[in-house]
Amino acid sequence: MSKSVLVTDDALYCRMELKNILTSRGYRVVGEARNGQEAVERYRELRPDLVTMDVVMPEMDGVAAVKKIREIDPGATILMCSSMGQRSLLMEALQAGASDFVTKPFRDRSVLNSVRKLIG
Amino acid sequence: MDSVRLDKRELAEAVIDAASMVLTDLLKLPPRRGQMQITPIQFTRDELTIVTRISGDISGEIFLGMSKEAALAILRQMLRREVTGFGRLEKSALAELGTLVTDTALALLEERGALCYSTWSGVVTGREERVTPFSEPTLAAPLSLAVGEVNVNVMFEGYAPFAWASPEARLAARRSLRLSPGERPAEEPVPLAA
Repeated sequence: MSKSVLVTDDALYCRMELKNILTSRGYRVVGEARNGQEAVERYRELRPDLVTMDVVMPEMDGVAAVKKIREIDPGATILMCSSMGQRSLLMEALQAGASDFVTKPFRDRSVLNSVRKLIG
Repeated sequence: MDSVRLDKRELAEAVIDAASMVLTDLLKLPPRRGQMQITPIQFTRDELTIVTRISGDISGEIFLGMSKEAALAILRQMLRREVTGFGRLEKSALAELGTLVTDTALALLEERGALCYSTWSGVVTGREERVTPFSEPTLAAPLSLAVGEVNVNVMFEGYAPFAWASPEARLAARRSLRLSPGERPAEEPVPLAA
């Protein structure tokens, strides 16, 4: 069965972009979350192979969500998605247990390379 | 860290450079930059305006104004399909363009020692819509694309509260400010005007 992904971003456009890139290569996007809190809840419920995580979001940010998800599942694989101006927060997320990161705007090749490296 | 004192021109240059970089990346053709001018922008002058607020060491507002044709051409590249109108997804994509430009500018400012953060971006459609309560003039420069112009306006309000603090305190303050409830809407950027 193809690998499952939970996409987290507060922007509809970014969620759609990621979904298009991932499904074009056979990954299953099993859920979407609009903030960190939703991502944690959806992770508990869906246990996807990979979570893509925006850094800055309302309610709960990406760094806090990484910490919560890693508490639930220390083996969780999380790919951070950030823009250039979020370097310090991105470093925090990696220190909190995120596996890798891609930068916005998304490029198919770079997203797919990271995803392939993480979950095959 | 010493207080950062960038002048208005340096701030505007960072934003114009960032807009140019993002648009070049998107359209695969560098825009031609026009002359910088001082101009008021309490009301929109373009058919479509993306508004983003920045705070931190420097506070201000960034406006990206454009014609519908220019917006549609940019959206075709972003969405990789034909676009004819401005629905929820299209406005979300334009708001993301504002965020990308602002975050790129913030990275350039950070290299010069100014720590800032962006709040959410909103999209205003139509001319003569009020976009800011401030009457400060902006520094503006047009970026000419094959499909029309993107007018970059940067309003500088002043220096903000944590310029005096230690680097660690500044980062912590930036983080808590960025993430405070209500800074960004729960799902979609809320249009500032209909």
